[in-house]
Amino acid sequence: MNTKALASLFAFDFWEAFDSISWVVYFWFYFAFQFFVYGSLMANLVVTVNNYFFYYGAGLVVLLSFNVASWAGRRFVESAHEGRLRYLLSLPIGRGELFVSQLMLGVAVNLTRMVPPLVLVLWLSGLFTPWALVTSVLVLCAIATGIIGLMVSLSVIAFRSFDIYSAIVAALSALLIRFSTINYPISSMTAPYAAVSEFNPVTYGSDLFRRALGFNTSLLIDPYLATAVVVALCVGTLFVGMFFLSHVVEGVRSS
Amino acid sequence: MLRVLRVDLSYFFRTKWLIATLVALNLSDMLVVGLIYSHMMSFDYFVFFAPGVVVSAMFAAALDVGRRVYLGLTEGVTQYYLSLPISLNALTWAHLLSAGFGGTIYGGIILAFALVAVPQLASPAILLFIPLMFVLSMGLSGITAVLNLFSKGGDRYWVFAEGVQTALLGLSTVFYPIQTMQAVLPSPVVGVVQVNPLSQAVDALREAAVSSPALTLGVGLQVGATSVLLMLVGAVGYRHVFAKVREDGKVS
Amino acid sequence: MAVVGCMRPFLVDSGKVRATYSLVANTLFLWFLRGEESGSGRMSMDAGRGTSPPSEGGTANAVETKGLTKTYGKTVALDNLSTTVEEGKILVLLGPNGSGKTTFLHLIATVLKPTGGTALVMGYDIVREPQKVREVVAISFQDPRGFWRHKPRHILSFHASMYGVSGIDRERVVDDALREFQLWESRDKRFMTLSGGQAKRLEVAKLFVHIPKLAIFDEPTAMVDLDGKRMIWDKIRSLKEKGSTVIVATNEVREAEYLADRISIFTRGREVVSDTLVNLKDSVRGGDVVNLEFASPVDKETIDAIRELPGTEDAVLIDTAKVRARVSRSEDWLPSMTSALYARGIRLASIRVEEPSLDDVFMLHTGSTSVGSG
Repeated sequence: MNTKALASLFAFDFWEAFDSISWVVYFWFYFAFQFFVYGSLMANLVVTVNNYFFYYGAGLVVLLSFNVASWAGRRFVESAHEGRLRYLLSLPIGRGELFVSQLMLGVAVNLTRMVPPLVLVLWLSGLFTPWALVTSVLVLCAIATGIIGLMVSLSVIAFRSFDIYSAIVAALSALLIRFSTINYPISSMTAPYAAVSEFNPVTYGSDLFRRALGFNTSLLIDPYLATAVVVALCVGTLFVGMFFLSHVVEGVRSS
Repeated sequence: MLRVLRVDLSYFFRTKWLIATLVALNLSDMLVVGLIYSHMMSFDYFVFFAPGVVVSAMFAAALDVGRRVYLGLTEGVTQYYLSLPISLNALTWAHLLSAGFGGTIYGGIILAFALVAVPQLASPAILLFIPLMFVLSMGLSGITAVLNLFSKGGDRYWVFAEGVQTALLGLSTVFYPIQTMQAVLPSPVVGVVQVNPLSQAVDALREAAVSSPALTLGVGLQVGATSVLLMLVGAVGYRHVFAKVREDGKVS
Repeated sequence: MAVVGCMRPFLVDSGKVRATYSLVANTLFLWFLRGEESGSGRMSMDAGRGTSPPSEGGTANAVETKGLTKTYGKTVALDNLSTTVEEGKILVLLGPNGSGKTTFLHLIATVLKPTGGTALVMGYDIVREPQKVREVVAISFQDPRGFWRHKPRHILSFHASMYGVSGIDRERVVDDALREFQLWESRDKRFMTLSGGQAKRLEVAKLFVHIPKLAIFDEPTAMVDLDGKRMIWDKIRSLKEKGSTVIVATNEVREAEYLADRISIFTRGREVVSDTLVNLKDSVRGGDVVNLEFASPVDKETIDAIRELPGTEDAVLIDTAKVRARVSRSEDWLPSMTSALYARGIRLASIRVEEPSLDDVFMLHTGSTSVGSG
């Protein structure tokens, strides 16, 4: 692997991701607002979950991590739409390295944006330990990697129709978030919703993340199953994304 | 003016796929999130939340006109409009009316689904809410006119727009009752919630649906007055933006 | 996820499951990252070994294509192209928009994958060894776009680093390129604020922060003013002097005439003809127009004598003492014409020769009225 080229490409993209400080500030504002306002108000209303404030806070971290990872995957499609992709495809790096650079970017942006909110949630909930921080960060990285791979894999649709791609990604993202344990435990869902949520990898990712933080385990899915699902998501979408980038994606503008 | 209005409105509804997806997202909020939270709370949150989804959908559609104006400014569409035989006032009102129609049509679609999903909301007074939606959508779009004026382009517009949307939705009674907010939040913040046009709109819709007498004149006038005030602010804002573009070629 | 649901009762020994997943994941992932894409759909483990040695010397071909084809559904963008590009020369692809020039360039730069056929670029197969091809090729795209937030200095520095230019050398070549392409004042402005001409110059400047073996320029002077055009043309010629092979796609005949060692004319996805500029112009029968002005009025016998000269397509009297002749090769015709007239004692006052334009050449080979109309 050409690590120098990979590092150059990563640095080039990473700089752009943080070029606008406004978005970074807004991101943290959004987290703080949702956590302290929405979270405290909903915690006041929810009676079936103890300490719903921190339950929601942890879910919010996963939600925002999901959004950042989605952005990283969609950015790949936008790079085709904007003409950047064909330039990247012409550079002397392999397709695999190009894919890895997108993953690295997504994970790095994810961490730089999510670690402060994560530390805040851990500290306020009294669960802050180095072990909790490290394991929860690893779980976030795994979720992010899986979502980025999924979005890059879906990008082939954009080369046929960008509007259909946008619609599919928006619908998929909404379903993945709503039918998951990001906002509510699986025990609070009715049977049909719970059944759908059990097929959602984000469900397992959220519960695994809460377990890593040290939350009450009675509401959470079995950790070994959750780990297996998250790893499978990671590996599966990595393979599919890599395959598409190597064999299908070309430097045409997304239509 | 009507032609500009038609073109602007057609952008929002340009792709059936996207509209269908947006509708599905709003419905999933109502039917998934609302229902699940109902089982987690001590009151029927589903019936409470459904009107909130309608108002938030209307809000998003109304705000979208600001996004289109911003993109028009950066991509030269506004400059093209200004080269046509159309006055600044006509162009301003074309955009505001487009927001009114867009918010009403899209909010109306979600409202129709809400009435099917939540039969308790079905009431003749709901019909009175529809003209209020029109005026309110025009007013809400006025907020984005101010954003266009002060953001001076670039990322700041998007950040301001997202921030305003987050704050307005979060500090309103769309998601939670005012009593809960009074119990948790400081009173100045509660004051902001009470004057928030979204709070007034969703409370009016809840009142139209379930209260007796349905949709009092006072509530209707309050929503109407707030909307007209915002609409006038928006009209001034948009007109100023377009005048600047006509003079200088750009806003900043 | 249905698989996971079914597997749940069987995931008893979690330790083995975790270990197996890790081992499988790591092994397969590393296998994917090693080596290069292959046309068979598997990553080749033999990455780095070319199928033939890189071309060397001035007579070898930098590019050879065999039946190279690219289709998009029913649209044939490039139709069965078999051609060569001589190493160390400038080949200009001339043709209207949509004729297949850009598709050809993107194929040999491995930005696109061919639907059929293949090509060797500096001896490397574009299908089996695309990574090797990209190491020797650099391309300047037709429309500069994509890096909206970056600044010209960053963009050039990044490009140089990707092609192995490092450290102090990189800073120097980037600064030199910024100055030579009149971008020094704009070096710290965002790309989105650059004018069309500046953006285009930046796009071209990328290929001058390193010296690619094969440099590809797609309409290098579109949106650039006259001074800028001449500057870019001279820079492109300097690349050739440094040993690079250059391919330029254009629909501007002046650009083609200024740069080309060889011109390939494209239309509707096909290469219609490929030859030197001189030969292409000479292929237009009667393409050279010779205007003769005589010292005294001309008689019919003189005109007949001119018509009978070898190479004359036609000669007409346009004034009492002026004749316009259309000939195939004026450089051969003029000596025989002057000898014939001298033998008759006829004196010429002036001779003016007009060569056929590339538009005339294009019309001859494609039937279209001009390069721009397609």
